[in-house]
Amino acid sequence: MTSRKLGLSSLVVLAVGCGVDRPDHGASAGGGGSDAGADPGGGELVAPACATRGPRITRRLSNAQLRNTLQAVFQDTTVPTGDILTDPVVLGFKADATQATVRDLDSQLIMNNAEAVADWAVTKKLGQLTSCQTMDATCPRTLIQTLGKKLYREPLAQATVDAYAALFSAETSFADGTRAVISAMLQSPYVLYRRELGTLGSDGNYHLTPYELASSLSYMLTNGPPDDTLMSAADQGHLTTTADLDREAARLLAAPQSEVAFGQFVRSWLSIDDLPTRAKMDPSNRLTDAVRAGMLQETVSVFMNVLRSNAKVSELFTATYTFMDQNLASYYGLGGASSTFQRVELPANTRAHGILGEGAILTRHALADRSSPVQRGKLVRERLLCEEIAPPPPNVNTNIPAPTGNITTRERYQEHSADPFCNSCHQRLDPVGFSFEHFDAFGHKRDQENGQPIDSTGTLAGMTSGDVALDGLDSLSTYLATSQAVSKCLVRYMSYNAYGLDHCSESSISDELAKSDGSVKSIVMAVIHAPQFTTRAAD
Amino acid sequence: MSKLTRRDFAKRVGLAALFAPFMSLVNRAPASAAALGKAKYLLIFYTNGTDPKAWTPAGSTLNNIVFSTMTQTLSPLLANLVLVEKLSSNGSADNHAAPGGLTGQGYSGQSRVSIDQFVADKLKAAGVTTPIPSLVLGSVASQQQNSFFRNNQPLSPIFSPVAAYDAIFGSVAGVSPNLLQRRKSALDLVNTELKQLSSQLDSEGRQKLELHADSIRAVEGRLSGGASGSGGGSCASGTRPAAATQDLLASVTHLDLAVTAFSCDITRVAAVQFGHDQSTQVAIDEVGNKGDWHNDYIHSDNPRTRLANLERWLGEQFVAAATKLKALPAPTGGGTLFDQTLMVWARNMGDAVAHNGSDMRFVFSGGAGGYLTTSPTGRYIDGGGDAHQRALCSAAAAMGITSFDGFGDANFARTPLDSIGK
Repeated sequence: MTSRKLGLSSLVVLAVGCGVDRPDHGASAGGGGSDAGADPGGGELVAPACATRGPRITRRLSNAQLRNTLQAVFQDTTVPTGDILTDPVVLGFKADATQATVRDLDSQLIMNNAEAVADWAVTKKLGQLTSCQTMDATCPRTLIQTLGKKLYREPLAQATVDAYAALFSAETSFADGTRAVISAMLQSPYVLYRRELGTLGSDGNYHLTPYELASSLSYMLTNGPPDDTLMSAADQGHLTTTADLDREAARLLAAPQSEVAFGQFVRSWLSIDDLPTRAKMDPSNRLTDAVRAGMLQETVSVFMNVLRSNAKVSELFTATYTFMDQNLASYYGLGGASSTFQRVELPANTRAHGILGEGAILTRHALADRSSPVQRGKLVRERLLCEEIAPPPPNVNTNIPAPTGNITTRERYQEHSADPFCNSCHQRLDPVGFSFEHFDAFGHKRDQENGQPIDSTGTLAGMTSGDVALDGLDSLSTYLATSQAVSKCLVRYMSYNAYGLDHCSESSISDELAKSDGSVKSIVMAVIHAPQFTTRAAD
Repeated sequence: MSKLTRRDFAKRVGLAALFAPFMSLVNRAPASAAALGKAKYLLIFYTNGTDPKAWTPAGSTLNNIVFSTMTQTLSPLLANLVLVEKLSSNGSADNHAAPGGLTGQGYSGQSRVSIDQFVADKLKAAGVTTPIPSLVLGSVASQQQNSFFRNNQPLSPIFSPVAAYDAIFGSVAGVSPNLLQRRKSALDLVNTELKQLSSQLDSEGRQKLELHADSIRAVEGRLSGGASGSGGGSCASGTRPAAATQDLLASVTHLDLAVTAFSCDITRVAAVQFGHDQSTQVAIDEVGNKGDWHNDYIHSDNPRTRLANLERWLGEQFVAAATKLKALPAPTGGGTLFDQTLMVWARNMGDAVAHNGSDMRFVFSGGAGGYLTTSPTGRYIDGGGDAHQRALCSAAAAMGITSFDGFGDANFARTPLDSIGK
């Protein structure tokens, strides 16, 4: 199998003059220490090639997926969970199929949690897990098969049932037998990893099994394990055709859990996930934890509305509505909201349209107390257009001049970029970020800064159609709404988040989208219909 | 019921014992090997780069430190303090996410291993085995990790102090025979299943599962007591920490856990990262107005009052770790833990303001088993542009390592710094 390292070769490198020895996108893996066992062994984990379809792989659950799995299987949110698995961040997502591993001290943490869950389950859930508690040949095996199927996300092989039965029989009580079985199951690689192995088909490719497809659908669309309906479809052979996948995808997208999955996607895609912990100098003390959480919910809600209503990608940028509760509406100085989150039409001229005008974006992509044209420009370039901005080369003056007099943020950054060397990169950042300048570091609209009128003109340079003149955030959003580059970028991140591999099945997805209605949902479905979702290449 | 169950056992020793160390209840087995070098323990304190002009202890001479405002809080360690600057990363630590700070190799490095992992491997090869070969703790979970490496693969620190506590002090000793057997049986089954899965994967897929198998073997080693430390006395694990409210405060807890792990001889090598080069949110009263370490403190403040305050706060944490080391007996004997530990404050960049690694700086402290050359008024070394990996080699040398093949960049000197130790 050929392989490639996620690195510079796969990236669009932007600016001439920004060139330095570049970071790769190889990511962190594992949890915190070297192994105590054998020799260091192995080498660098590199992402496999995946032009059309990648190789057969195992994918470790993320920590959130493990938590969601335990909560779903035991039907209880109080099941012991915690920071058990360390999730490597790659491309801003915690979804990488190659880099997420179990290594070093991870097994210790997995064992600790498995035993804690086993103790909890025997104490709290034994009656739910089994209708009998006899040490005969049948009762334990029924428990093993029933619970095992849920945790493994497929029926257990007979040999596996036998192995667990042996663990059970080594104990002297039903409770201890159950404890032994649960603690072992929760350390099983069949629980910790999703399998994408398939069976060899006549076309020479491996076709994922119905149970593997059930997991792929479920973790992609709900970030959790297959529900009973999905498992039943797999049991009955009703998860083999495209129509089957479409039916189940439609059902899952309508379920509340899909907001969990796509909420995480949106927070990662737009780099707003850490908004709750951003250190901000808010003199009004109005940027409360509740407001920050509301901002995130606002952005996720708009995205979910666009997704579920089959609206086009463009609506993400042009929506004249949002979702707010009274608390968030009050923060924004808007009315029309209730005590719960609901759709609110934006009054004219109160804020910019679409997701770029939302508090999560404006507050997260700013300094502690000031707007940041650089960060906002970087957001547009990297997360919406999939361009790579090289870090500043060594030994350049990176100081933003201190505020003096009535100078505006724009003026400070214009001074900063006056140096031709700096400007070789910053011409692609700052003039984009200037279009956000009607919005401060807390998401509030402003017409003046330090008594000076806001100038939010700018330029989005280097587009295929040439440089795009900007005059305010709506002008930027209007351009992005119709940009093919934005749709293509969304495809890249959405497919990476689903597959855990970058640039998989791109041509297939692109072909399907060319015939689609341009909706966000069509991207989701094209990812599901692509070869990488259902098949794997022969070794 | 004839067997003592884990639950029964937990009742007897208290629920906390489910996650608590049993080291305080049992005497540790004698060491398989006491040590390799003069220093028995290596504690790496890893942070972002700084503003050299504000950090440099101007006026210092080889045997006399004149503290700058930034370094002043290190003064309680004066008699065991060595400040080193003007070392070059030779391009390996010149920018954000540059991996050279602890490896000596830049983005294009093909065999990156951070000094903590290099030392841990050497100790193990020499027969100095402890339950955990090394600890990597701290950093910021939301960011891509590029500081610690093994086999050219970046390692994620354990971000959560709670998880770190559980990993370090997870119940591995003193458990009932029944629980011990249950654990071994479970791990046997896990190993069988790993082999089943591996047989269906290509070499790269198998490589990933082999890391899992290694991790299992580490647990098995702890269960069997085959990787005992050299304690012989007892130690206290402290209490399971609460979840931290911000990343830097989590790292303070991590530092404390690392010292405690030393006191139990659970590991000989620990690294704690404070912050991350891309994003570190700071809300610490002593530092001043809240903000991001990089964007707000390094690039937006001038003069860098908050950066100086943060450096001083970091210095206080470094000193606090030293103070705790001084208060604990060394499990290996020979005085306190401080006497046997080499503390190294290393950085991911030299000049963070200018994004370059041409002026890397280090702080060395600890008794280091007598390795460090010290002066009552402190020592200051002008590196004169030497490769910064020489400072990292010095840390390894203190731990008894004499061959540095496989570490750093072979194009530059891979020997300990002149005049730092003996």
